Amino acid sequence: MKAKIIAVIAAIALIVFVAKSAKVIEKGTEAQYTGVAVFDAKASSSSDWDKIAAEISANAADITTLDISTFGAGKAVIIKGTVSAYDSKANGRRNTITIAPDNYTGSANITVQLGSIYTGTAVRDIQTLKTFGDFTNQTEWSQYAKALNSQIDSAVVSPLAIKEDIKGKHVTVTGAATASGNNVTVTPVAIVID
Amino acid sequence: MKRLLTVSIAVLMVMALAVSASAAGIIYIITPSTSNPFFGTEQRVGAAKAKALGYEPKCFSHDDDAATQLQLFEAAISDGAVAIICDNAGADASIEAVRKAVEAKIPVFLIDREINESGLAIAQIVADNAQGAAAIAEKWVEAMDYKGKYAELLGLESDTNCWVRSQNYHSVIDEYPDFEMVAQQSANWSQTEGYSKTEAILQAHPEITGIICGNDTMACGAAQACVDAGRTDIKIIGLDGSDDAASYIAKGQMVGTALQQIARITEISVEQADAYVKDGTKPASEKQLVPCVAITKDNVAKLSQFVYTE
Repeated sequence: MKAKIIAVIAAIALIVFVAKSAKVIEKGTEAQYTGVAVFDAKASSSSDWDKIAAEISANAADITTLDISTFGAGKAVIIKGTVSAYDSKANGRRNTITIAPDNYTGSANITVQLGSIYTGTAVRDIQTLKTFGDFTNQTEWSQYAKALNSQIDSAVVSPLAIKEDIKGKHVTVTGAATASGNNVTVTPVAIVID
Repeated sequence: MKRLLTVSIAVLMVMALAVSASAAGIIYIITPSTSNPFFGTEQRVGAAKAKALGYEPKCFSHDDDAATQLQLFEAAISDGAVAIICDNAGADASIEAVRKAVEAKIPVFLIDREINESGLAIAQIVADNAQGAAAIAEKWVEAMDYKGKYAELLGLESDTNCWVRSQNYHSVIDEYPDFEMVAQQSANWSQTEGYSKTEAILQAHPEITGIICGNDTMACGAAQACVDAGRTDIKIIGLDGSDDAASYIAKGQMVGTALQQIARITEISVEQADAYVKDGTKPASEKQLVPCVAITKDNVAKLSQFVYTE
């Protein structure tokens, strides 16, 4: 009986000791203790965004002067022209416009992605601020591309609230272009509706 | 006299052999089992490139066994190899073997699969699985018209690529709210499992209209099961870029695949080994990604033996 009581008291003392001496690490602050930072693609891309948009704008060449077979992983382009079509797919989640550039005699079909879902990694692939080596693995590098595309939606496209009535208007679009056959897809970093 | 002649010929032969072997040196090319043509391509292309650059290639398979791989690395060390090209047998399990080679001053160039340690190998050159999975998933959501119930066949769950591919399929598909995944099972990269799991899924969920698969071997099993069940409406994708998948794509029984340019990756690794052996030139970065090419019926004719020709 006596031994039992002593054991219980000892157990309680031990629990109190452990509870008092153990440090509770709050969620999200683990990195301060382990030194392993949790990757946050969104934060990383939003602090990079202005520089990347500026770099692509500075390097952009008039699309009508370029050979689309050189577009490869992506090319910085500027397109001035008239919107010839507005297309909406996937219940309004995949919107695009087709642009007929001014004084253009080529046969390329040029579409600009307007989100809210964007395909491809063209913006990430032509910027030079970050490289794959800056990331831990392929998945983070891939998340970075997606996060940049989300930046495009919130910073560039969404505020313009583009609807079907854009058809026939004159626009200036700067962005990253890729080509597949005769089809050029542009992910915009700046859109001006004239 | 005759004896002296024989001896001198023998000596000359040994000298000639030594000269030819040391002209540029031996390169070991160690891969998983060549019963998978993907790894066969690594040995074929790697050996051809090494020969072309004046080396003596020696090709071996570790059959995804880390102990066998370690023995092969030790053999390379005692053989005095000048470089090792390796598609490794496990991201953690291979570190020891690579470290042994590095300690023996033999540079290691890893292809296809990464290891969980930087600063040991001179290069880790891999296909951009994340980009490839996302690229072919984009083609698949279009083919599915952005909606529908579907199943997923995962690869070997202990393999990093299994999750990289799955996560990146979902990074595209999950953006669309009208998709619903009704089954997700591992078929362990295997064609026969891909076939049997698909048969079972079609029984349990006849309403599905798509199957996404972590590699082409499973996708081919799934495609064959769908053909045999008369379900040619089901949209299937894989990843690798094998000739078997190409044949299903050409017949319209698969939507597409993402080609891992393994022939190109292997060539790059041998070129970098050559540069390092010659004058110690290292690539700009240890970890290097080679983009995948999305293959659909529109461009499948340009694909053969893991080589895409524009």
